Amino acid sequence: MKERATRVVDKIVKMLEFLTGFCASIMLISIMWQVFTRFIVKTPSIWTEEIARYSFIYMAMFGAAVGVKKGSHFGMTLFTDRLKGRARDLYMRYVVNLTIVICSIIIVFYGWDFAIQFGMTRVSPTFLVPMTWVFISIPLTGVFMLVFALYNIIFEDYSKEVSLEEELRNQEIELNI
Amino acid sequence: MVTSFLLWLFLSFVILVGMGIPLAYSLFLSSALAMAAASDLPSVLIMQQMQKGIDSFPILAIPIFFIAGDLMNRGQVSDYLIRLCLVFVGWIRGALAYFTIIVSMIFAGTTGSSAAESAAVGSVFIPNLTKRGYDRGFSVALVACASVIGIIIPPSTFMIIYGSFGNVSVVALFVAGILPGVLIGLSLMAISAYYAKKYNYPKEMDRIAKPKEMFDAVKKGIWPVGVPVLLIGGMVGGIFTPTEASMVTVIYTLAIIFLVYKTLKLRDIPGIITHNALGSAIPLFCLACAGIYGYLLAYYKVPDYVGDAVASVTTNPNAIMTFIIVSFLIIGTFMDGTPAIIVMLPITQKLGQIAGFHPVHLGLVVCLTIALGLLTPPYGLCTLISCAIGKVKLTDAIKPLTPMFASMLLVILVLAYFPDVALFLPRLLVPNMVP
Amino acid sequence: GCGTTPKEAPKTKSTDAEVETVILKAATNNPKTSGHYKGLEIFKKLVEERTNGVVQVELYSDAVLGDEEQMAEGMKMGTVDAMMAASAKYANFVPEMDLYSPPYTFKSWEHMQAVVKSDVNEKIANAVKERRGDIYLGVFTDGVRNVFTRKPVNSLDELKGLKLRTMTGPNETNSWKALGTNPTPLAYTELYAALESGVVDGAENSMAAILNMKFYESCKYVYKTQHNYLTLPFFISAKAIEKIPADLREIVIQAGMDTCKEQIDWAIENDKKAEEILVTQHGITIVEMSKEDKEKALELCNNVQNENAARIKMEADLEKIREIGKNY
Ligand code: NA
Ligand code: NA
Repeated sequence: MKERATRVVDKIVKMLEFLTGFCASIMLISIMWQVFTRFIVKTPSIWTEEIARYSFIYMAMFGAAVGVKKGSHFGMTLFTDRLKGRARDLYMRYVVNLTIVICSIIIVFYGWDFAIQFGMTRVSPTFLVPMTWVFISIPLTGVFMLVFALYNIIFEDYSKEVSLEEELRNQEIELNI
Repeated sequence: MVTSFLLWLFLSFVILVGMGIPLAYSLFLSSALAMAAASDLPSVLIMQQMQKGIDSFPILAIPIFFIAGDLMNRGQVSDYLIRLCLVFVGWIRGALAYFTIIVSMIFAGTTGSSAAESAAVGSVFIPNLTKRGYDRGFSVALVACASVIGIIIPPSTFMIIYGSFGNVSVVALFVAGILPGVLIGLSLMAISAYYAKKYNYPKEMDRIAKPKEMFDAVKKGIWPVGVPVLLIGGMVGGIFTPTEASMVTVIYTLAIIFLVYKTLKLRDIPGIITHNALGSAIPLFCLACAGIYGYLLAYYKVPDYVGDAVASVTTNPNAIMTFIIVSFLIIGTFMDGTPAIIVMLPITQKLGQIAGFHPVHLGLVVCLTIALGLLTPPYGLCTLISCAIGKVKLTDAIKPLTPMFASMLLVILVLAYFPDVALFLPRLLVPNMVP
Repeated sequence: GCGTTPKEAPKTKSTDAEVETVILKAATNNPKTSGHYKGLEIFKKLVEERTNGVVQVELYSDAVLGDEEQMAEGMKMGTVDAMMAASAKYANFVPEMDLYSPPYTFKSWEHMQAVVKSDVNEKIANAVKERRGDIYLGVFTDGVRNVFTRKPVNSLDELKGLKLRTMTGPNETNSWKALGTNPTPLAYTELYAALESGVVDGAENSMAAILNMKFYESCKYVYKTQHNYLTLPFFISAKAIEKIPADLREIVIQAGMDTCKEQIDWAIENDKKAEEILVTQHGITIVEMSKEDKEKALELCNNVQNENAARIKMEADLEKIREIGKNY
């Protein structure tokens, strides 16, 4: 059971990481094109800003979802650092991750409401596409956050001590030591 | 209703943060709780503000600067910089400490985040410093402080956020950051000189370098110096916007790595992009959640109340400035810089209006103070990272950290109480942006 | 009971406390010095006077309640009660509003004001009502937009190839291409520096904007194209109307409509003043557009207007606007 869930969740993480990088690349290419057209071709491109902005939003949202699985959303750990063993395990699962579950449910539910109710009646200024396509990134991310937080509650083991190094690595900060 | 709403908003936030709930979710949930319990605001408002929190063109520069900095780091650009420094000042006692500061200052021109910077600079310098006989506590403290210069010398994530959400010119803030960055660098050097003399820290070379050695070091090491020149020059000249400038930095860095150093392969690039996209997503999500919180404060006119309350006590600019600095130092002890700026922005600007501060001056002081907060425990990210790299207990780093911290605080206070000093460079270089 | 005198009514918690005041949040993304905010101030004054302070208006400037799109969403959520937006921005929600957006839609202030009184405007009001429920009270303006440049432009021909910062959106960029310029999108906050350094050769905006943003420091020439008599539609939301006591609703709506008239008069006057200051105090050279060039420019922009009208299915209404224009 655990192996299977882990396999599936790891696949989702891999996919999201790919999408995060993909969106970042689209953003980079658009801005590179903007720089190119403005300074080299001298006829600045009109559509780059919108593409860059929207792929940036997707990048940030997908990346934030991955952060739930990796435990990289930072907070004040003064209290949780004092918990050890089983107490820490229970606390991290049923307090911290459950809070994330609650937030994710709100994000999914009202994010969807917002995307449909407000996105359908507003179009993007340049491409004139419904803003739903942008807003939907929020509930979509909520779904992934929900899945990861639930996975953490059911399967993650928080009883072992986490070194700061490990925590920093989780936050995508690499230490060459 | 307003009072109970604000109580909900504030208390639930403090409790959630204290419980160890990640900052982003604490901001999110306390906003949601307050809205549900004590307002008739519709819940979709949360989503609108979340989306708005990251829908801004200037902040696209943040991940791009992350990528630029990481490219420099992995492309071993700092190694060439060190060699450059070595031939010129290697014969001075304590030279390695100076390198740390100088490299941080130039590196500071490229890394978006101080945390990544302490990791990058720290993992190069701390092992070297300790190996060469520098005190561990000193090395850790020095790297922590030097990396804070990264927040101060452009580009700076905090300034991008403050500028784009506070409607202040990001370029003017960048330019304003140069002077304090250099001043802090110099004061750190002075402290290092004192330590070097007292503890007899080593020289890196026993003689002055030969012209040939100098020439060779300059030939390779001069390229990274082009980054801040291109960046600042391009923005001051009005040629690039900050977002374009970040892209130009990436292109330039790629060019020197692929054409000069050949330290990276093309296939390394996607990994670097993904890594930094994931890394920047965390503060960006925090920004989205802080957007909700900040909006609610503005919606209930909290800035006006705070403003009136402060104004009823004093309208003396120096007193208000002190209040702002102390507040941000306290907030900085339990909150990260990004959400702190967003949440406090309307209140800060209201106070600034009352005291008649120049927006650029105010923004600079706030960003400087928050950067200083990266050193203070318990939430002193730069100190924590440096300690982790140096494998030192926080308590061992505190003693050498204290004089450095004090000198940085002194620089901030000088800029805070003498606006003409703070605005000198922006007025000189970008007069139009500091009306 | 009802309020005593208009003067003391605004303070609540007075003797007749049973009169519950209603608070309307009126917002703009522009600063307190703008014509937009001036309009809101007029609205506040009229509403509070005429309802004896029962309906109070709270003003928010500087995008405190969001930019134009977020304010429009806020109207639906109930977080914003009254707002104005550039017609092109509001058109992201109600495409019909875009009818007023393309350059050279209006020939003069009189033409613009006549259209706003015509049944074309009524049709747009209905579309607004139908699509969003908002009540379209009329338009504010921030003046007429002109081209201003670093180097003198003396005729339509000399606009050719000029790198001009314009607003974004197909209506703007296509019109400016039709006029022969090279339209360059650029954030408004970056414009000053771009003009200074020559990244762009010029831009287009109202006299008040040229004055307030100090664009005159690098651009000494205004070519009086008068291409856009800016319409800033002003709205009150359905939710806001529901909040207001039934007997005061019409009064508030009327106050909103009167606000628009007063704001336009103020803004036209302000536009003239700004022009005078630019000429007398800042040494700006103003070049009038010749009659032939004006005719030619109007014609060059016709196509964009036609395409725009076709997209939003308002071809007949565009014709009506042109018909009305024949009298001016
Ligand atoms: Na920096
Ligand atoms: Na701190």
